[in-house]
Amino acid sequence: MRSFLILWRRQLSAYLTQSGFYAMSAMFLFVAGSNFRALLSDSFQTPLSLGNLMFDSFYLWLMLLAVITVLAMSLLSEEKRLRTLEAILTAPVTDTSLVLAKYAAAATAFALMCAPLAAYPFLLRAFSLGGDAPDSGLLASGFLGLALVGGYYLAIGLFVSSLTRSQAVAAILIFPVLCLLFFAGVVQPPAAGSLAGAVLAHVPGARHIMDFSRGIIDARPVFHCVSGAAFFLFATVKVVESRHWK
Amino acid sequence: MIVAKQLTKRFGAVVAVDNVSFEVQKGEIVGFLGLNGAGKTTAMRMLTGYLSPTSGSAEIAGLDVCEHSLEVRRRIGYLPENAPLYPEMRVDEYLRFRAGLKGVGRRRIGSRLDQVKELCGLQDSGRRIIGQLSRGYWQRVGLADAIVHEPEVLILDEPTMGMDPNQIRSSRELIRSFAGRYTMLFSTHHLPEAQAICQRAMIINKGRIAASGTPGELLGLLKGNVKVVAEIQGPAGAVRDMLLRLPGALSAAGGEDDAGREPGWDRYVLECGAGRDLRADVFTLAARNGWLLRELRVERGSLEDAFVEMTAQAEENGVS
Repeated sequence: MRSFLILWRRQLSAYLTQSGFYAMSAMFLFVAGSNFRALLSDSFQTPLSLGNLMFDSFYLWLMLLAVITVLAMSLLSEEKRLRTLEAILTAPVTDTSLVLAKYAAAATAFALMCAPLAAYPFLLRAFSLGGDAPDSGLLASGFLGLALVGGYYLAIGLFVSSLTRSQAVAAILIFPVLCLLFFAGVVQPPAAGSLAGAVLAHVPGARHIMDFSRGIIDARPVFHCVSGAAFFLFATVKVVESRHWK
Repeated sequence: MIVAKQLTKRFGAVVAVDNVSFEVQKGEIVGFLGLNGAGKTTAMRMLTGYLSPTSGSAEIAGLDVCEHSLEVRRRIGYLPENAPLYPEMRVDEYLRFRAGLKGVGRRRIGSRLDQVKELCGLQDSGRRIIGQLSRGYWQRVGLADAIVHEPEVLILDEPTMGMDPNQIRSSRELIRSFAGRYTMLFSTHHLPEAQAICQRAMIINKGRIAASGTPGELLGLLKGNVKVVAEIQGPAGAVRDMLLRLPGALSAAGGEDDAGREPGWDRYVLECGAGRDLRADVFTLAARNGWLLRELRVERGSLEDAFVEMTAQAEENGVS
């Protein structure tokens, strides 16, 4: 447990001491904020729910996928490139606690990036003339969707970064894969009609984020995200362990 | 303290370490000598539990490295090849991270850090960023990391690689100062280093141990003849003839007036059969004939010669 915490803190401080992290956060908040503002002015004509305002936007989604890619791409690939993986795994640390600590740190960084979004409804209320308090259940559901899909995709990203020693290669693989999975539910996937297409359409993505933002919590995407993340974490541990039998 | 039993590692068709067995006693300093790609790093990675052997086993302090991997890792200080560190971290920050990871108690980390920094000559470098350190200091941070949790066994993979001569000398002294405190296995392809540091050396070639012994014993394995070098003032032709007539002498060379040398003095190289030392005979010969003698020494082969000879031998055996 102690080594998990130490590795988690090390990875988190690696994120937080990089200027890139702040550039990325600024970019993310700029896109999310201007998007929110644009939707807000649209909603004078056609009223939108708060969930739609906050979570249903193509640009926000694209930014989310980019953020997840950037957070995940270097997790294990950089350790492999610097050969520090050998230094870590010859200390009394299990492969599993390394993988879990990396994942937890990425998830923490992701949560930190998304946290300012939670201020939007309160800003809206502070600057509006009266009106009802924001529906907290709706907001919670929206954030739950974000957390579930984000957590699932981070696990996929971590898995990909364990396969290569180049973060560029990891990023080039992660981003298109995540886009494909994410938009498969709302855009015709390449293999539409076939079994693969049908499977793709069920992978939690944009469609489910939209559902969650409307307050619809379906057990199926919840289960899919949690078990999917667990599967990819397990696969990552196996990739790290594979050095023993290669 | 370290026991390897028929340790073998295959990567596909390539046999990196082939049936290697050895023991290192407590407190001993043993060098692993071999060319690049001889299997040193792979063997060390198996001892530290980073890789599993294809067959065979290894024990550290009586514990199997595969079954009790975490317990073994607690007892080992390992410096991997090239000393991988995080270039963006500060020295203190890195050592603190490593000490915590290796289970040094939170309260003891501070004092332990001071100790290892002093041992490794890093007292004034705590605030420096690792990526800006010179190669020698970089390696010192790696060494400090290896000993930070007070391990019983030190395994150092090419600890002086990439250093300049001054850095090599100071880190060699540093490593030598570890003697007695740790059981140590280190690898190198730099032979004078093994000669300077270790009590025993193993020459590893193509995954097998070609020879093992003290540096002196390894030199003794040299088949070559003994060469006696003498500087004598006397009639050149006569001196050479007389030297050649000494019992046990195989050949005598020199005596020609070398350009640039002091006139009158000639340097002779007398080759004698293995195990023979004709220095005393040369002295009596010179004394009896009234020649002047101002240098008389045996030219010893270096470990380098032993090494080249043994790896070449293994090559021949492999071919035949």
